[in-house]
Amino acid sequence: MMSFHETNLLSVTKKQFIYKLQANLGILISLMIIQLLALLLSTAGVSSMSVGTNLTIINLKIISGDIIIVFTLIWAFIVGYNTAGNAYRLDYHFVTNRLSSNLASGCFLLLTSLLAGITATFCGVLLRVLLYFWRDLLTTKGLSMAPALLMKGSYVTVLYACLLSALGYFYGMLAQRNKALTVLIPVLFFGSLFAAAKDTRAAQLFRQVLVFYFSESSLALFTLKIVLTVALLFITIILFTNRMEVRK
Amino acid sequence: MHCIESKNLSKTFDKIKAVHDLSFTIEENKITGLVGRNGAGKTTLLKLIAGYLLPTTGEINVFGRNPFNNLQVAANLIFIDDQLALPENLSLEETLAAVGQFYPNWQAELARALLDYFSLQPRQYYANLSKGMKSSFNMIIGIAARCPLTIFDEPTVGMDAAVRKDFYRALLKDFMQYPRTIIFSSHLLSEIEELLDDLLLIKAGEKYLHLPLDELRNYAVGLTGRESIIRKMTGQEQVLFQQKLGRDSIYLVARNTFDQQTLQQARLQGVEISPVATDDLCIYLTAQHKGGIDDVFSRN
Amino acid sequence: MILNPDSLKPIYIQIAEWLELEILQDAIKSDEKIYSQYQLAEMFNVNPATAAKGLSLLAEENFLYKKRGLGMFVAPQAKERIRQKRINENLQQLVFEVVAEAKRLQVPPEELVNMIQRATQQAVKEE
Repeated sequence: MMSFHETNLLSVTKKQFIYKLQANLGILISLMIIQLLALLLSTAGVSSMSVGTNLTIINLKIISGDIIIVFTLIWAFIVGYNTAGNAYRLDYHFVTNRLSSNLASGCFLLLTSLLAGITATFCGVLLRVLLYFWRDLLTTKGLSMAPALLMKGSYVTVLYACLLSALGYFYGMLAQRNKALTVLIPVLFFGSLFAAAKDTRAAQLFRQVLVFYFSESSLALFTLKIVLTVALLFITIILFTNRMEVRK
Repeated sequence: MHCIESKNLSKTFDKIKAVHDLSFTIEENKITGLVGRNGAGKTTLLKLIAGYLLPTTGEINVFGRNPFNNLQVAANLIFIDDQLALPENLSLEETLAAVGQFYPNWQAELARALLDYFSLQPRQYYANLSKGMKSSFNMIIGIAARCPLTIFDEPTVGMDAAVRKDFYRALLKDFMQYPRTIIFSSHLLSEIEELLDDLLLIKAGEKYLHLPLDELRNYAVGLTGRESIIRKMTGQEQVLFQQKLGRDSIYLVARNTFDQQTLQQARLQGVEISPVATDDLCIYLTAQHKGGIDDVFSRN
Repeated sequence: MILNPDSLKPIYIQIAEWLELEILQDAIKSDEKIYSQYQLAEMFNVNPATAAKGLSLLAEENFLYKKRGLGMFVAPQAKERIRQKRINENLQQLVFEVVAEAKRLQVPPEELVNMIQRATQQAVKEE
């Protein structure tokens, strides 16, 4: 005789998290590739300018690890988006409900953000080491980094990765629910970018949003902003998917 | 005890009624066959039971709870169909291990032995399997999970006859060791009927018949002989199917409400009485026209 | 034995008849244990509930009796009673059908009796 088996949210979420990890190990390779690519591009310099007379030309090249960070954040967004698609496609074949699926995805994205943020910072370090050995440097401003600064850099990058992957996940879930949104959201986003170039009210709002997230000087406040935003995104998704039909 | 209880259950997609006003109960630890034509609403019904879809109206209870988005119900059922999506980066044996952790009754050894028996290589990848082999792998998961409610929606798609036979037997043997509630939807009723306790036949989203399989076998009889004699013994409402043979003979399938004496009498009058294969019976029961496809041609 | 899926008879009756045959042929004697529902289900590849129904059919007719915790056993004189039952029901039925067919073919009763006698002699010879 087979008896009813009682379970709880925590244990199911844990199982699902492990399942997601096993199913998505491949994305770690994609992270490495992206960061290596960014590293190579960085060595070429982010911007350069030339000044000079007929006799002498000075080529000034600014090299920074920003590309690595930007690439990593784009990767985080894509991983968020894919995780939403995979959750919708893979999760509901075995033991799940909407809540446990979202929670497991959240844990998974937290882990990938952690990895992405830390590796991105270390890629920045690697870039400096490479430059030290390979290039003649005019100035070595910021070549060495204090461990505390490194930690802080990692921490901030991790938080940004969390934000971006939560945004990706949010967008991915909307897209699962309604295909029209897949088109509508990018249109709105880029539309507002263009609008931001002009001096309209919408542009001001958009700029304020950017300032809100990207110009916070207090680390504690910044943390709070990101955590609240991510929590808000996830709560919205959980409420939004709670009545969602799956495997149609 | 009831495992599944459905009350006036309806599901509408874009104004099309996939399931309409369906009421039935399925007992615990029985094997029920779900039969119906293409588009009769079998898959929709099974997905409502599994809690994937929301009923439009009516009610469905599984283990006494509403299955939609219900973790407790999800933990006690498995739904196997040919749409199973599995992680692409895992080999078959890795997939079994990954899936197995979800189920407290998971039979790792049995799964491995079945994998071996059906010549599936543990290192193979699911995406590279043929349709029939994918079905085999899905069924292995369905059997090894030993869920209190196991739902198979057309699980044998693409399997050859020999593999199907082995699987029915595997399912039966495992069922005897661990009785559980099993719902099996299939086009091939004749192959699975001996495994079944009950049959649920649906037509255009509505319940048509729900009865023990033994009764289905007796539900109708085929009568072959002189039309005048056969017409005399059958009422119009009994007729499920009819086909003219020769000048004044007929083959007629009728609901078996005859007593032994009537049948004996008919036999002595030269009427041949034959059983109706359950497969054919289901076709007749779910048909829109009593003359079958012949109706279309006889009009022209 | 393989069940006949084309028969009008429900599976459980076919199983009951097979068990009767086993008893008639002395494969299982009086007071010996008969197959369990699970053994039958495996043998015939049928649902165990169906097999159980076949057994209980024989128990209802007192061809079998139950020993608590041990299973079903063949009743004393079951063989003889099964024989009588099958003469009265099956054989009688078959005779009716043979007669009906003979009538359709306009075979006179005397010739029918002759045919039966010849068939009987042949059956004896083959033994």
